[in-house]
Amino acid sequence: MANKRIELEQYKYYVDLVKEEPPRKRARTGAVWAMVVAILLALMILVLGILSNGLAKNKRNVLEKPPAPASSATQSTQLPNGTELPSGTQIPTGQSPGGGARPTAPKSPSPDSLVPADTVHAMKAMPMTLGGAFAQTSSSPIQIQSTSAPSSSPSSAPKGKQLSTETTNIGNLGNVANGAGGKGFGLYLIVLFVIIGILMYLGIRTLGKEAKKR
Amino acid sequence: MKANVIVFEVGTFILFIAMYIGSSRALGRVRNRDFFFGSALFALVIYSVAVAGGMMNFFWYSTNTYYKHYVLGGYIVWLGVVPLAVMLLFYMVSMASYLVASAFSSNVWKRSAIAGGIGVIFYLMIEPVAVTNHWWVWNAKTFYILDVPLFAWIAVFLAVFAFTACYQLTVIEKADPKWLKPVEDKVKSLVLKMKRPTISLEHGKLMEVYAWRLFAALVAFGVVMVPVLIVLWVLANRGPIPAGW
Repeated sequence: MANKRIELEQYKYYVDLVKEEPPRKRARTGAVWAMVVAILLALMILVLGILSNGLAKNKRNVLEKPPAPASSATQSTQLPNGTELPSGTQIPTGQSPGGGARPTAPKSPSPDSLVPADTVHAMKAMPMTLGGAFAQTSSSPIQIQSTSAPSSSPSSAPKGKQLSTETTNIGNLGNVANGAGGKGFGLYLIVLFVIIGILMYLGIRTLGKEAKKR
Repeated sequence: MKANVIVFEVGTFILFIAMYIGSSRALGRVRNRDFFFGSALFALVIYSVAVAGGMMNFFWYSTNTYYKHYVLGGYIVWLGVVPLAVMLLFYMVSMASYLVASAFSSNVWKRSAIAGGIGVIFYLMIEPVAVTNHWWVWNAKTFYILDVPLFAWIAVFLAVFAFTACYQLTVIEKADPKWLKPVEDKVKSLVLKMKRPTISLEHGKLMEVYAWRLFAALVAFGVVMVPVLIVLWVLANRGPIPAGW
């Protein structure tokens, strides 16, 4: 009985080994497969990157707010007393129909309450580069309109000097994208794609060489 | 809609399936599953902390009327505050990096370092495209390279390095490193209620050790990253020396 038990234990271990460690040829095929998929992943990013070249050229793109609500032809404003405004009627900012609350963007279904939208965009207005760090003494989130120049602590910023809301030099993707005659971003992605392709190829070749040795 | 987040997400899901099948063949079904859950968990914790800390977010497509512009305007599947696609992306990058690194070196540390380097190359490609299309948004007040914080590049290397080292040591080699022994022996006896060496553990128990080591790797990652974040933040936000100081 004890021997039978030992046998079963050994058999179990053998099964585990087969399940965990696939045969070498199968493992090699799988690794090559995974590396090819990695190249496809890089290709997908390359294509999406080249498609978004126009966005990348805009130096302020990463700081831009999400698109404002479009005035749809089918939308109409409902006043509290039931009166409908014709579509396209502009309500001046700060006023609300019928004296109610100021219309705001619809609430997001995502947990955006964790980081208020204003804070997000105010903070986004602050990125700096290695080329141009500046003072920001306040540690709390700063409320700055992203459309206007950011304010800074008067004690820390030199008078009359406007702090940039954009990253500069290599810190800004727009600078890279606008380089090389507007093809900078595409070239950057192509170079990285080639590097990834070479690395994957080297990996596949090494596996092939090992297989031949055996 | 050219490089909308939906395009990215769907593309990632499709490639993930292909990658999962390939790496199941390469590593074995069980080991690949362990790699997948480990890497997804690792990425989930890091990204969740980054979002909670206000360093980044994935809400650009959500904080607006995108849902009115396009059907399924933002990410489809979320795990807390992190989209599933982002975790799958980390899995794919770390798996590809790990497999290539395995072909180049058998030493666990060299292998992990190579994997970390390859991971950075992948993210050098992914991050600029992501921030351009607002797949995620960086908010930190620090040094930026290509509109991506400098610490993010460091974090990618460290994350892939720490995760692949943890995976290799635990799941593949089932090793008990001497430098980890003093702490691990205590954890094993007090928390995991086991005394056997890792190599003799069944898969269930091995997963408990794996979970503990992933936690330890995350702590180590945090211990390295926090000073980096603080130093970069202080340098970036230092004030100009006032005249006559």
